[in-house]
Amino acid sequence: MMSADCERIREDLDAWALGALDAADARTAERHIASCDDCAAFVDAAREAAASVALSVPLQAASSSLKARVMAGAAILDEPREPVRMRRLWPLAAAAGFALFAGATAWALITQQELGDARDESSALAGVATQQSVTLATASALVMIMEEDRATHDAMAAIVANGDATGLAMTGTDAAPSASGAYVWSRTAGRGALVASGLPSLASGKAYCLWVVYEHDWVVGGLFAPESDGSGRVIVEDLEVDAEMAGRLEGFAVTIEDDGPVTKHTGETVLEASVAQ
Amino acid sequence: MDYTRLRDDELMDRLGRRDIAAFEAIYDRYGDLVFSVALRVVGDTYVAEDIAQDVFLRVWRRPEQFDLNRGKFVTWLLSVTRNRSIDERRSRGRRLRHEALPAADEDDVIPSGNDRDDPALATVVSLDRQAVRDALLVLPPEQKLAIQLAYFGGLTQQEIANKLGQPLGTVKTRIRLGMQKMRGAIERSEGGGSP
Repeated sequence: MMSADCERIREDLDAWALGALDAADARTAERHIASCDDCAAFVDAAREAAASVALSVPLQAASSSLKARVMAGAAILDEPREPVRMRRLWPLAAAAGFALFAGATAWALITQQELGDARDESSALAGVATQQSVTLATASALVMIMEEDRATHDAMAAIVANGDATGLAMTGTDAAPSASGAYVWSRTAGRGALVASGLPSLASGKAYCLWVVYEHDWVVGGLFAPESDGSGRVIVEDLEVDAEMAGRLEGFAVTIEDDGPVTKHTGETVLEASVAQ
Repeated sequence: MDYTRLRDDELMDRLGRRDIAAFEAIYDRYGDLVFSVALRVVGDTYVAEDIAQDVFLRVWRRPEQFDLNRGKFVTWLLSVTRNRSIDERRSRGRRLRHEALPAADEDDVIPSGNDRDDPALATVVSLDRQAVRDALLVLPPEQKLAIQLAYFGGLTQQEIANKLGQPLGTVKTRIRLGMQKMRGAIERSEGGGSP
């Protein structure tokens, strides 16, 4: 037999399910619900009716970058998991058009979410992401790289935690058509990071060199050797640039240089990206 | 395997075993709906996408929070979405004290012809959606408004009463009667054979 409490609570269940009870009444209802099997069916029905209100909203299409962010986030959160070989993922990324920076943004957003306090940065970065062609493959590929390379992962985290983080997808030249990559940087952080793949192996005594290309000068970002799978990465910190002399930032390039102190680009360019003016 | 043919509970079962393809199928099925609900509450595309991301990653991280014995997956998912969106709306309201948030009290809860087709969603909730929209269409405006202010605006019955200048008892009655009709519509649609 229904008690007076049940009767009173059931009158409030719809409002409770809609979130329309004040805090004290909601607590009373929830205490009762938790201990009353007789009311359980009414609770479920009220919940379903309330949720049905949501079904009435006009459907809007979420951006394609949202799916990339969600799936990349799931990849990050999925622990333990089998490591995924970059060799398998990179061709996917290349085939998908290589919007690697968008992947970086996706990863950044999710990492920030895990840190729990980056709403404003997320919104800013999401704005960048929606401007680019995002694919699940590229997002996943970047995530896997980051997971397997802690130093790059941490550097990237430091970069993208800043609201001014931005990036460019880099494309292979005729000298290295299979190469691709992305450069992500933040002026606030004073750091940048290059992640590349599909790089040809080098002759002995040679190294890849990342250049930050200004209107009047090419500034060395760092030398690096490719991994056996053709991937490469380099962290750029505290780049010393005379802005007045160098002029405006035009883009980034990766060339093949002698493995040693480098001051001027002389070798062939294998990767390049231009900053939109 | 064609995941698009699996029921929600089957997908969630697989998701619980860390099947990323099942998770993707859940996203494909409900991504736009979750985003749309969040957008309806917060009125900002980027914020709504952040909310949707939070919601889906919660599904992935804690699939056990969905209890099949307590109702449909979509009910739970939309409840999580709505609550997360209201939290965000309130939080933004505090942060942007002088900035107008999108009003949930404009009489526009019923789609007005700009709804997009979503085949993935249509396979699971099309009858429900149509039933709800039909029910809302015939709901007296004052009942619809009270429900809308509560659900999308996050207002309590007392706050609604204050806002509308109506007695609290009147608002309670409007919500109760309105929701009874909504529940009836859902029950009839389920009787009609929604999968």
